[in-house]
Amino acid sequence: MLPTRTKLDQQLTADERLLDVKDVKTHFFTDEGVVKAVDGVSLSLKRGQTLCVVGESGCGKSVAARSILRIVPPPGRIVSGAIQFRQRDGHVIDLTAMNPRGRDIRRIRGGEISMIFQEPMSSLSPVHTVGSQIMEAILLHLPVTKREARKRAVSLLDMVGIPRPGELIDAYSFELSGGMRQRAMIAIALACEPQLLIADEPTTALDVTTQANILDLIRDLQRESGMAVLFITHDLGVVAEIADDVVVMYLGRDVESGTVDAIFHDPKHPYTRALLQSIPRYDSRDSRSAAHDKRRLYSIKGTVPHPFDRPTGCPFHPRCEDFIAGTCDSIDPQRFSASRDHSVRCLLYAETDEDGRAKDSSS
Amino acid sequence: MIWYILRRIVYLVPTLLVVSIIAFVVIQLPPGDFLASLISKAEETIDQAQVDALRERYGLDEPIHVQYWKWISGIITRGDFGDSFEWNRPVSDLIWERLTLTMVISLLTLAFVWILSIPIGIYSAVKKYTIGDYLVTVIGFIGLAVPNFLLALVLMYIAFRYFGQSVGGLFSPEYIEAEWSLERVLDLLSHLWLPVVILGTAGTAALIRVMRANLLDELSKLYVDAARARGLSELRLLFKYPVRVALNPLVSALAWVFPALVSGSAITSIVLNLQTTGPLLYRSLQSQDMYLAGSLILLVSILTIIGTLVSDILLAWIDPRIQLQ
Amino acid sequence: MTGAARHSPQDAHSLPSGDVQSESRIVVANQWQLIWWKFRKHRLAMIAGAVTLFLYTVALFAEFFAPYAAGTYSARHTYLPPPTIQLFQSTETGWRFYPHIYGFTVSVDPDSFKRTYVVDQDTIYPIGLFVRGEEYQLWGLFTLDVHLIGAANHGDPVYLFGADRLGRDVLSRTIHGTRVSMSVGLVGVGLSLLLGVILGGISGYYGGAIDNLIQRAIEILRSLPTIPLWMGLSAAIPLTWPPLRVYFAITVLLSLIGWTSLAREVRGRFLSLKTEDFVIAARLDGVREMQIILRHMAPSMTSHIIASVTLAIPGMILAETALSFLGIGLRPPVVSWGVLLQEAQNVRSIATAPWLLFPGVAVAVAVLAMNFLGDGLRDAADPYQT
Repeated sequence: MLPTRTKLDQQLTADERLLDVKDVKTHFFTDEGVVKAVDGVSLSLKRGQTLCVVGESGCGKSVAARSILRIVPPPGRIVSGAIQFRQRDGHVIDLTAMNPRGRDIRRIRGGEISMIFQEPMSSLSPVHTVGSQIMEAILLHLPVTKREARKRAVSLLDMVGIPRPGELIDAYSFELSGGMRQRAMIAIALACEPQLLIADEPTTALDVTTQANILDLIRDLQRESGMAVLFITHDLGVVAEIADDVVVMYLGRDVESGTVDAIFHDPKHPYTRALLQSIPRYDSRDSRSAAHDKRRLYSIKGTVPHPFDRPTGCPFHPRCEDFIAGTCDSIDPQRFSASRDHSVRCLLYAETDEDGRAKDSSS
Repeated sequence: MIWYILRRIVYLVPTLLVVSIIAFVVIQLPPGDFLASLISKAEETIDQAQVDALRERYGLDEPIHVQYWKWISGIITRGDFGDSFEWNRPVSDLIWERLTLTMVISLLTLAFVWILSIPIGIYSAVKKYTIGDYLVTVIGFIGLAVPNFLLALVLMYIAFRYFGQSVGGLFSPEYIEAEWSLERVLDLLSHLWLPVVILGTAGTAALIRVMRANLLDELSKLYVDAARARGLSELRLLFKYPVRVALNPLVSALAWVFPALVSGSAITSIVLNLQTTGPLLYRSLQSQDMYLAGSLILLVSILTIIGTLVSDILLAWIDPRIQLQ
Repeated sequence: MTGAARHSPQDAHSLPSGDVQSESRIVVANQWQLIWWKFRKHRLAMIAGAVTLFLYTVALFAEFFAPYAAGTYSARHTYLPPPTIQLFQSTETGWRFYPHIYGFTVSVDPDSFKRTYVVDQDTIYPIGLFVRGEEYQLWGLFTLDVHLIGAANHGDPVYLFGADRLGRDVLSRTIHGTRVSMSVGLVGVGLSLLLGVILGGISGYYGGAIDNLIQRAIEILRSLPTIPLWMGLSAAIPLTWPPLRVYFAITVLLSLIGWTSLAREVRGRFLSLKTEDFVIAARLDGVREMQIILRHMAPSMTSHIIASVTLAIPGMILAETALSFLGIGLRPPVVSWGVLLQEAQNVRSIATAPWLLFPGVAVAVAVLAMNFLGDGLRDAADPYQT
């Protein structure tokens, strides 16, 4: 008999890595050519921690998240890499080795790893009640009767802050507001107390007040349940608010990863620096000078390259301010460690040893 | 739900009114009043008293709206559709059995169309761009392109040429005029498959395409991913969510598939010589037996309208979003 | 703090050149180019488009494509079966390319007057392309005698698809029928389009009570069984009318009932476009209503309308064929596919001469082609959607 989760168990493993994504590549084999949506992403997540993945739209962060649950839509496919996940029973399994339609991965989905999506409007079935979808998740993973599942569903709805849960459990999704739908999605996701919640831009489609409410809710629930959260967003404000660690992605790669402090206060990669610069600032200290200062808001020059036309060398080099001709456009940078737990994929930080190759800090 | 049904029934009234007017127009269309053609066709001379009685009954000397009123009130209050001159019998004697057969054939065809098109449509969408999908698509398009009556002719020719039998009709000769009995029903069933298949091809092809397109739409929706992400197996997922949602437009397609079937059965029945309304209508039109023709058009239209109503109610029942509108 | 730029990354030569080109191509391509690009990928639709184009070309130059005129008959060749075309002839020196058919001998059954044809390999009728044959007037303007295909020696009995009850060439009649059948679809859809765009436009643009009224009317029309209705209405067309008037009466009848789906399409587009940002923006900029409709809304609707029109034509062709087949649509001497199929109305005549079904093949090909074409067009109509 394997031990189930206990307090002791949790303490002992608090520092353990829950999820280790190692150099995963997910490519889409379309008629027009291969789109390398995710082209070498590594990240790791500890129990109970929050990891934010940031990047522009189209940088592959959603695909990376879907790769973990193995729900990449065809013609997409994981071509290499490993995704190691520590199950509740302590076993470490490689999710990439599983059959995406098989029983094993289905036990993980919703049971150990849950996911919520960008658009709460369309992530609930239009012709089923909210309750039936929550109960479905419960009945799939927990040995309970229908009646118990319904009771649990009502208390879940109550937990995520849906008013009159006993009534709204029988509501259809079109009878709920966007914020309420996302709450319902969270209720479904948390139905079986997963170890990891993947949140794919869960607040993007919501208005600002609702965004804040949903963020608070996720944070509170995380504190109570001790689950880890992989949060995908393009909103650096959200990152600053909730992240423990941050991974910055560009064109399907992690270009920099570190603690939230390291990323915000000591950004290394030119892309990270540019991202941080493009946040509009309104510091009280500078407000007077800012009023006189007619400088335009900083924006990164150029556009994200066409997916079939990936630049050679460092993928960021055509837009980089610190571009080194002859180097950046020919050498593909490895991960260099800037400090403990802080790595960056940029040739500016290459430790130039004799053969010009720097050691990879990620392995 | 009850309110929704009531509202739909209220909407029915103007529709029925329009249909009755159209049928009446068809009756009035041939030049001259029908008495003239009756007299010209009659083998022996009809005495003047008889003509006057008919003139009085149909109100032929009165304005057109009075004629309409006499006609429609006769139908509503007494079930009197007028007389057929060709058969020299009341129209209502001639039509009911044929109408029943028309409905039986149409409903059976509908069932056939559904039973065939739903699974094939699902297969075609799930296995999209495979050889099976292309095969289904091509066969479906051919089914759409070949006119029903042509298909009927070809099948009859094949049966005649290679099996040496005539496959027309709904009954074997000995049962045509027989009373209804178990044997007659069985005989009918053994003849029904051919018209059902012929009538069903175009509808099946159309519905396969509808089902495939809808399901492809639904398969790419986020709620499918969400359900997959909570650990549902692929097969249960498919049938519980996208197929379920994709069936809605199929039910609303009933609203046009059913009229199309009734409509298509008219010509096919003529070719296959079935004892349905189609050949009777055809004959009555050719012989300008206008009360029979008008009544047939009216009744067939009413039946399709009721079919449409049923499909609307069915749709509201399975799709909770409809009632809200 | 921005790091000092050591190099301008915008140097054109530092970018892969293909990138620049594809980028600029996307920028200059207008809507119709995008539609064309998307359509071109749809191989089946491309083939269907070519077939459709071919059919309309045949319809335009029917006299040239057909070996004989529509009415040419020959009592000596009633129900002559289609010959096998021999492409080569053996000579002393080997085989030579010499397309021909064999002749036949006839025997007439004295009781039933049924003719039996037996192939006679000794008689040879050469056939060829661009042969001289009967004179004809193309569009009433030019008098010509060249036919695309036919007997190389004018007067030889060459009936490539057999002959009918009166010894008329089935192939020629089918080709002549193309003109009427294909144009009934076009004219009928043109009329439906007119009705559909006007009523659908009014319905979608004004909304409210008018919309409600028109929508009810459409619902009523759609719930009617069309063929019995068509039968009733077309049976009322007087037998004394000249063929051309019957032709127009039939097309009007077809379009009177067929306009509803186009009207629905137009209305739906109108409604969804009305709330599009670019239309609202134009309105806020004070653009006049007519201008909004013509400059801003019409272009994004046209492609959809073309697609639905293409999909509506096959229905019209089928309807005309069905009515004429029953003898209550077009009537001889007008030649349409439906009229030709009247010859094959019962099993007996098909059993004698299965080749009389050939016009049915033409119907199927035309309907199939236009369905595929319309499907491809509909997919391409929204080039901005992937």
